[in-house]
Amino acid sequence: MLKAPIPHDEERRLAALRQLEILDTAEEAAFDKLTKLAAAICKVPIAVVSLVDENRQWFKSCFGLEARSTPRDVSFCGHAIHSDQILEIPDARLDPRFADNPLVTGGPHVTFYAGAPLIASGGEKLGTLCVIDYAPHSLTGEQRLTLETLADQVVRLMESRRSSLRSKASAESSARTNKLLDGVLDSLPNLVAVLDKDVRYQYINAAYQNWFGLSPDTTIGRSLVEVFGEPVFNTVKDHVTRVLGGEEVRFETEAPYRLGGTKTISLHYQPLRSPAGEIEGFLAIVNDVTELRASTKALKETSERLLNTINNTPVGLIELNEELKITAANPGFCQMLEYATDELIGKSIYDLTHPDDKIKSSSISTAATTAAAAAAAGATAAASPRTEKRYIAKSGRIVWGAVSSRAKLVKDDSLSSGSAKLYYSCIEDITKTKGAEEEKIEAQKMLQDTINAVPFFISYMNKDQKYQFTNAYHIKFFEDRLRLLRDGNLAAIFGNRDAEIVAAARAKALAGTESSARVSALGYVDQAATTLDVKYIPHRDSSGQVSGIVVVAEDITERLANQKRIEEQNLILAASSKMVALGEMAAGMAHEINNPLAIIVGKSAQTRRLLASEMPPDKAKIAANLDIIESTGQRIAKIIKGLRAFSRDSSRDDMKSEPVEEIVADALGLCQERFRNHGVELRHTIENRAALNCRAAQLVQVLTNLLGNAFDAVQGTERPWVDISAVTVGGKVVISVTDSGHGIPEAVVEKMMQPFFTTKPVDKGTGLGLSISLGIAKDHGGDLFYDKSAANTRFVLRLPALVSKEAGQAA
Amino acid sequence: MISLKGKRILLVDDEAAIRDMLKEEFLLLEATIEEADGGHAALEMVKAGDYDAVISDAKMPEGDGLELVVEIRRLGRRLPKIFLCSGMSVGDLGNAAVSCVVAVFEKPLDFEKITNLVAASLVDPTP
Repeated sequence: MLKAPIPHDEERRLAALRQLEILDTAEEAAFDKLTKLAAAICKVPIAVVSLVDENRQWFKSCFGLEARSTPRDVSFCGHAIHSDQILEIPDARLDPRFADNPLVTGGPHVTFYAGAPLIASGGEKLGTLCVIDYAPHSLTGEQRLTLETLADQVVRLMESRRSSLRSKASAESSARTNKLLDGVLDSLPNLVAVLDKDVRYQYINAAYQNWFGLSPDTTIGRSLVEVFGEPVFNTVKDHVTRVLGGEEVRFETEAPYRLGGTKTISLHYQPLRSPAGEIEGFLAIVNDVTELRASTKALKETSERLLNTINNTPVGLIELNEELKITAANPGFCQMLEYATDELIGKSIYDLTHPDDKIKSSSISTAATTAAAAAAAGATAAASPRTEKRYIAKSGRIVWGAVSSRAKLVKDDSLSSGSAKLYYSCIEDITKTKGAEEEKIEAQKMLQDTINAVPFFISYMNKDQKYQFTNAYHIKFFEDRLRLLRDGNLAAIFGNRDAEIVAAARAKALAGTESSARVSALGYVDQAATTLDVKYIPHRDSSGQVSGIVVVAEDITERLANQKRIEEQNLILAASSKMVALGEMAAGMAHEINNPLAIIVGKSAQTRRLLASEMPPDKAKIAANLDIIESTGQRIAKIIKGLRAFSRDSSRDDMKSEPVEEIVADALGLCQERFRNHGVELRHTIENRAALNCRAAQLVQVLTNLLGNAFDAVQGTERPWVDISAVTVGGKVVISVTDSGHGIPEAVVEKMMQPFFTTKPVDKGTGLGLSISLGIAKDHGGDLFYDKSAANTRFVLRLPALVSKEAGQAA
Repeated sequence: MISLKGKRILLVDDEAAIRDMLKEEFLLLEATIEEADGGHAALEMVKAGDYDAVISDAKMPEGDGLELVVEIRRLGRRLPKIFLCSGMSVGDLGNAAVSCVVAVFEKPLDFEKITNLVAASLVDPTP
């Protein structure tokens, strides 16, 4: 069997065949009609349109044959396509090329074959229209011509089929494309419409339908005027004219909204042209800008408000460029520094800053830049910390400002970096508060200077007893020992015992109660031991909690030494004052003793004369004289006894039991003469049987002092008197000295018990009498006081009574 | 013995015993004696009648002796001779008074000395 050879133009042939897009397509009546016609004309049972593919022959139409394709190898047609003429084989069994062909030897037992090539318009032989018979056959001339014509018809049919197929495909594709376009257009938020040159709607997308509330059925093919009416059309009429004139038009207008009312829409009309360039209509793209417009309006209002704020705020607002030169300043800032806006623009912030604060300006910008860098992720940069600095106003006045600044990178295409750094600063004028603050600071400084100048230790320690402040005196005193004090090593400074006292006093103050302590700092280097009076005052914070202690201490070493000296001197003075009192008394008493002496002497002389006379002595007279001499002698004895009791230094005597009566009598003995001589009535009611455990001489001294004062007070007044009485009340002996005066002025009462206080002339009295008397009364466990309640001037000496036997029994 | 007959002497002392003794001494010399217990009473008596001498104590409750001396001097008439008896020395007494007394007798009193001096000054007055 001879295999069908491959034609020389096989590639082109196959391409032409595939271009027909016919292989493996369904049966078609047009082809089937042709094969049926061929079979009938050639009077054979089988007619086939066979197309020779690369490896097979495929039958587009078969009349009288079941098979749809056979391998190309065994095909008769593969041979037939090598020639433009019909290949006729009357009996294949006899033809060496086909005798062993399976199609001949087996089914369909091809015996007769005649195939007319299907020659495409390009000359390619695509296959054949062939007729087949099971028996040997031959074609007449007419049959051959008809077969060739029919083959030609098949080719035409195939080719027309393809072109019709093409146009159909293109129609399908265009439909698909349109559908796609519709989807796209419908998904657009924009309102899209296509109108023809008569302004009739040709297309509207979903958005357009929704927005205006239109449906394509009632819109497509109708004109704009019909759809919207004359008034609406008039608003776009001019624009329509322009777009149909070939111009692209953009405009805004109010349009009736589906849900009522009107909204602002922006329209974009674009002319649509035919391929020939003629204007066929226009595309309308519509956007609802109502919301956009509204938000723009709101933005405008907001910015106006903002601008208003910026212009009217007293706070200074400035914009600085990277070189810290002012690029914008609000009126607030201009007023603050007394400049006009124009004068400030371009000025460096450093030129407006106090020389000492220039460093602050650069710190502020650095802080702002750092903050801006930290906020690189698009977050708002934090402002620099609020900084207080001084500006210099145009007049040279210093203006204190509290500044916070924000750095911002701003897009600027004119720069190589593409952005510029700007600083926005907000400045509050705090000159006034700063002034007050400075005054406060000044006052504080004065206070501190004062605290440092005073000769007291002043310190402040916190709750943990750590020093927060120590004044100059404190520092100077402790010097090397400050460390010990700060470390809380109190024992090293005060010794163990006083350290405990200090610790306790501090603890008490920290617990909220003011405390004080007298402690001694140990001697240190060439500094003697020092006695300190320390006061610990709790310091409370605003919530009332104790937050620390104010410690105020005074060095009283010297004062104590002085006090001791004074006490010693007072002792001497007391002694000398007694001598003064004694001297006074002695002067007065000389007179008193002289008189009785004169009497004794005189009476003695008289008596002697009586005895010497020649007449018998007048015994009665002599006896009378002797009585006078005796009683007068006793008067002198009393005075002397009192004087002795008064004058001896009894301060070291032991306490002894002495009858009250005797003590009062001794005191009276000393005074009686004086009172009598000066016409001062001296009353006494001494019926007291009580005894006192005392130093009698000291008590005589007290009473003499009281009687003497009373005498001085009433001397020269009308009918003067002094009364002394002693009673026992509730275990106390109460000795009162009252005079005819009417009390003592309040101012004097307050001071009269103090040493050296006196109302008497300089040469009379030492002013020690009452203070010494008070001391004596206290030594005896008693008291000496002025009785304000009495009608007359009354002093009371009150002493504990010794329980006498009678009193004890009575009790 | 000197006689002071006709001489009027005023004795001034708050202490009656003293007056008694002085009175007794001068009665022995036959003088006329009158007494006062204080300076105030004495001054009235001096104003009322002529005295040749006044012998007064210095310190008395009812009218001080020193004041009495000054007051008598102020009367401006023929003055009695004045003598003072005092517990204090002449130097301790005020000058004003002392300058116009004949003598100051210091205590304790020497009665013989007093009578002698008073008598001498009254009998044989110095020019």
